[in-house]
Order: sequence, then structure tokens, then C-alpha cells
Amino acid sequence: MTQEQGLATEQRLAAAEGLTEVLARTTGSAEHPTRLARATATATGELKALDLHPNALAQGPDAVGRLVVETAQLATDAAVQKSYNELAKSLGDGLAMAVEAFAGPPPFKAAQDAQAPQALVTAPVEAPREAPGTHRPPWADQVKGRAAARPRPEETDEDDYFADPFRGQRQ
Amino acid sequence: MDETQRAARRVADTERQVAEHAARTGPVLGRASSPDDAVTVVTAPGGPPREVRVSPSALNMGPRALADEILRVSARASRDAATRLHRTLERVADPAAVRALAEIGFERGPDDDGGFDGTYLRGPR
Repeated sequence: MTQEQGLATEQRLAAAEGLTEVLARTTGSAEHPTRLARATATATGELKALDLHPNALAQGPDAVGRLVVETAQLATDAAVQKSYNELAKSLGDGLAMAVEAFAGPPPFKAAQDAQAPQALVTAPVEAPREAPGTHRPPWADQVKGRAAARPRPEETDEDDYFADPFRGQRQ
Repeated sequence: MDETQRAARRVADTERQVAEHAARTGPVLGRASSPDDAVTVVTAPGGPPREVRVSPSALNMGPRALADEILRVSARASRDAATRLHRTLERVADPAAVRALAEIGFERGPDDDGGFDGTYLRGPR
């Protein structure tokens, strides 16, 4: 075995060991979209913390069960995503991509891919209705040296913007 | 055949045996309940809880106590899932594969699992 091969093997072993350890150690937290539950879980799905909102119990026992399952899934996804990020930091993007190739895409990336068409559909709804009298000329937003942008809805969530910077330009 | 090919064949053989066994017996799931059946959790090895059942009377515990109980029961369900995974693999895979399972964090627990004997899942065969 050449020295180079030995190094690659060693790196792969370190990656496999690192992955197991990272998955068990890394925790992620998530809040249910209804804000009725919050959970912290490891990337291997072990629940580490759980908070239930007092109003959650009013939804009935079945709803509480579903709430916990869904929140635990979200927290686990967050933890898996975090472990991917850690892995990429410590081993380099190349190896992290190799892991992704056999272990599947990180959950948030997959979720983003799945949501991309949805964002296009909901975009027009977000456009604010202007009250009469407050009409601004089309060039109001113009930046020097650049063509006037289309009127954009006010974005408060920058994550959406960076997920798809061209969304506002599509019809 | 070099060592890598032999290893790859062994991995493929184990995978096939485990897949065949799993197809016969269904997925490996762990389960745990609190003593008064207030909370029941079903979970797959290495995953978050799949099912959490809460009895109507458990809602009287209040949010903090109920959340803590769910945490305790789900930890036991995870351990149960790992033990079942061991028992399933022991039947088809070689000892090295079973040892590897413990190395990657699936500890084998004791065999007597608190009176639960296959009413929810199909038992060993």
C-alpha cells in the first residue's frame, strides 16, 4: 500500500468513526409549527428534552402524541443537518459530499428542494396591496447603474431570499 | 479475489440475509410504556419516536410531568429497539457484524423486556 492509499484509508476510517460519534453527540432543537411543543434530539433520534405548551394538552391525547412525534422528527432533522455541517467542517466538503452520496441528502436540503415549487406558487400572494395615494413611481427602488427592480414584497425573512434570490424576478 | 472484494461480498451477503429476514418478520421496532400505560412510545432503532400514545388520563399530569414521562419512556423504547435489532441480527449475521452494531451505538440490553412479549410486534421465530 502506498503512503497515499494509507492516508486515504485512514481518512475514511476517521470519517466513519467521526460520523457515528458526531451523530450520537450532536443535538438539534426544533419547535412545532403550531408552537405547542419544542424538542431537542440527537441525530440518532434520541429525545433529550421536550417542552409541551399548556395549550397542547387541551388538544386531546391523540393530538399530543402526534405533536410529539412531529416535533421529535423536526428536532432529529435539525440534528442530522448540524452533524452534516460539522462533518463538512472537520473533514472537508469533498468527504461530506461522499457521505451525502451514500447516506442521502441532509434533511434541510431535501426539504428545500421539495419546497422550491411551492414558493413559486405562494409568491404572488405575498405582494402587498398598496393603498391608493401611496403609489410610488417604478424607479423609486432603482440603484444607480442598475435597471429598476420590480416592486418587491417586503421581505422580513432573509432565509427565503437566500434560498432563492431570483424568486422575485420570476412570474 | 483481493481483500476488498471479499469484504464487499461479505457486506452484500449480510445485507441480503438481513433484508430477507426483515421481509419475513417486519421492521424492527422498540416499544415501551409507563407502568400505568399513561404513555406508550414505539420507535425504530436509530430514529425518532414513530408513535407516541398518550392516555386521556395522562393529560391530568400537566405539561411538564407529561413531557418528562414521554422522555423517560422514549429512552426505554430506544434501548428496546437496539436490543431487538441485536436479536434480529444475531440470527442472520456473523458475530463481527453484531459487534459492529454495538460499536456504532446500538447497545444490547437484557433479554427480559419487562413482560412485553410480542403482543404488539411479531416475536422472534
